[in-house]
Amino acid sequence: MTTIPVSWYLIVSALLFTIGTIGVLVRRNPLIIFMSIELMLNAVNLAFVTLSSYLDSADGQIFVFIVLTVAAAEVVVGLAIIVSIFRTRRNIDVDEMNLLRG
Amino acid sequence: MSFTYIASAADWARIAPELVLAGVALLILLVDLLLPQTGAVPRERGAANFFVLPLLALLGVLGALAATIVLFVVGDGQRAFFGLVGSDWGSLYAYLAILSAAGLGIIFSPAYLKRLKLVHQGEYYALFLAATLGMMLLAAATSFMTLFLGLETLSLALYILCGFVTRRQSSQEAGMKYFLLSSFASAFLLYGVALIYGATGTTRFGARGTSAFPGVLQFLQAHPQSTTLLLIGIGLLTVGFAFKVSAIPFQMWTPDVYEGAPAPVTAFMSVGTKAAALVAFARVFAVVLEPVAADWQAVVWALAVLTMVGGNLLALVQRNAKRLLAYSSVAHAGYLLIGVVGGGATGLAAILFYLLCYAFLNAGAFGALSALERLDNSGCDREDLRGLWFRRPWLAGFLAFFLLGLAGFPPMAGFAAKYYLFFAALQGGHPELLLIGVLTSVLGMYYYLRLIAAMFMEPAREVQAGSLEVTPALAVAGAGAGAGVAPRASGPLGRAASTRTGGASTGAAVAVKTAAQATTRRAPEVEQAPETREQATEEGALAGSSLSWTTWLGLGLAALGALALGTVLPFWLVDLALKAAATL
Repeated sequence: MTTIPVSWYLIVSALLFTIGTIGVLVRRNPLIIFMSIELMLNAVNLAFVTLSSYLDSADGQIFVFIVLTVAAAEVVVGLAIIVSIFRTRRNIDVDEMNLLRG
Repeated sequence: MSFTYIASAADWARIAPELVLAGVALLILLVDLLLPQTGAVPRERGAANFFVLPLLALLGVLGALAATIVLFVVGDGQRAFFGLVGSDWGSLYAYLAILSAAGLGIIFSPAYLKRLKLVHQGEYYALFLAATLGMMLLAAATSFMTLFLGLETLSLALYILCGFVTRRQSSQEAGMKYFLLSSFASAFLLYGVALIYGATGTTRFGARGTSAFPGVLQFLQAHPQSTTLLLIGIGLLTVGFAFKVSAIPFQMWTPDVYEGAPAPVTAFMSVGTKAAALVAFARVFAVVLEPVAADWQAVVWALAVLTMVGGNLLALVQRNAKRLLAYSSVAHAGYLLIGVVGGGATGLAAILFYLLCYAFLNAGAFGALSALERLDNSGCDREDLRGLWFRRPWLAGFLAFFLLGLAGFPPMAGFAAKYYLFFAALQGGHPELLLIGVLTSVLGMYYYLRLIAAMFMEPAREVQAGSLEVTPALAVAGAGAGAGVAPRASGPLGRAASTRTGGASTGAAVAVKTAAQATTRRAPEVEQAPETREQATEEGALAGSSLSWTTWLGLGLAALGALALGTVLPFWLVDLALKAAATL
């Protein structure tokens, strides 16, 4: 059985991260932006797990647990904010959020 | 991979301040449920809410402060939990700044919450303490894991606090913007950490001088040549950190969030987040990545210069006082970055001392604005501040005091703080940063002084204008408020208002103008009109009466702290900061 080189994993991770970044920058719906941010975090997780196995060190795997936990907490807070905005505005497009500027 | 993990009691003792805060935050949630109901008033609006909960939160902060001082005296300064959290003097010094800001923020809160009729205070204070806890964890982090954990703890709590005024759209918007942009920046920071981990094989920082818990520092000392992986990692880490300390060009969220968030929260977060993030920034770059300083120094230098120049220039054109202070805090982040570039014990000590001074000055300035802010987020424009001296002389005096301090006038803390920072720039071999810093500070004086001039020298024109300019369309909105307030205004309030405004008008006119102003400014938001009107009535009642005593207490404490730091304490505290910086 041939082993897949570490760099391949890192390239996939970098690609996922880039897709997430582009998603945040071009999409206007906060839910999609939020999903893109989650994609970025998961790209980081992939990098951590790969490096952890490559370096034979546990730091990376423990870091993944922390990132997952934080991401879950972020979902809770983020969706709550989005719902609360939708209740007052009936619209969550980020381009419409322009009360504060200057 | 095999582990033996036994945390000793000494480890727990080293994070005592954090433990106190976590405990009190949970206690507040519990007490909030158990508070007695007073008559027909809903429980969450009861009088106990405005007394018991803030008192408890304040006791938590004071307890953490006491634990910090005890650790200063008897602590061993070692790292807790196998090199994950520091309890060194550098971290403890940062705790002082963060806890001062948290304490002041909590003191400013009850009057503000009462005026805006905000409920759910158990959550408010618990989140306040949770954010403080996150900041302390971030400042004390000696591993990328704790750093990320602290960063997210403080951010998650602050997202909610920023959007806490659910009836104000700008507050919700601030929460949303902060949430999206901050998580975006966190992802960059995290990817940078992952790559640095790949390059160095560890996420621990590693302490200077000892080899007890080897980390990134030890690896870089052994392999000072930087790989591509490490360089990309440092780049992404810089982006993440620059966002958190709101350095230009990553500052776009700062003014929006500071303006939309409730003023006491802004008072707290503008200082606390900055203190925590900058101490972490300084620790990561000036200590841990010091062996590869040649690779990042130019970038941070550029960030510092851009932030100093840009922050001050952008502040010049602001009309809203909260926004102006937000841009001024961007500029202050630029001054602080000088310390990171300069590096060494002098640079780090200057950062620590500056943060402590800044805590009192900035929290005080936003605290003074918290007494002016209305529910619809108006009341802080330069137009509203005109002639404040004639209406509320004490408030205007305090605000002017803090603004002068931020500008760096000698008797207040701002001058001493700036002096040491610029001195560090010179010592670190960056005279050009000293020059840019001094020039931009002079630029900064212009907008601080212009705000002060508006408060003290320009007459309060709005009152007369209000009685003349009530057009039919505005009168519809204004009439409700005017009618509601007029009977009451003929009492002592009316007299007070007329004497304070130089006999220009009665309290009723003030209220009419308030409502009219609010309506013109936020015409599209029709659904908010009833609340605006209600608020206008309250504002009318408030213009005559004095502020709540807690706000005065907070302003007094902040002013006292700023004065003490500027006159009596600098020599001793800078000495302490120098010793503390050596342990970072």
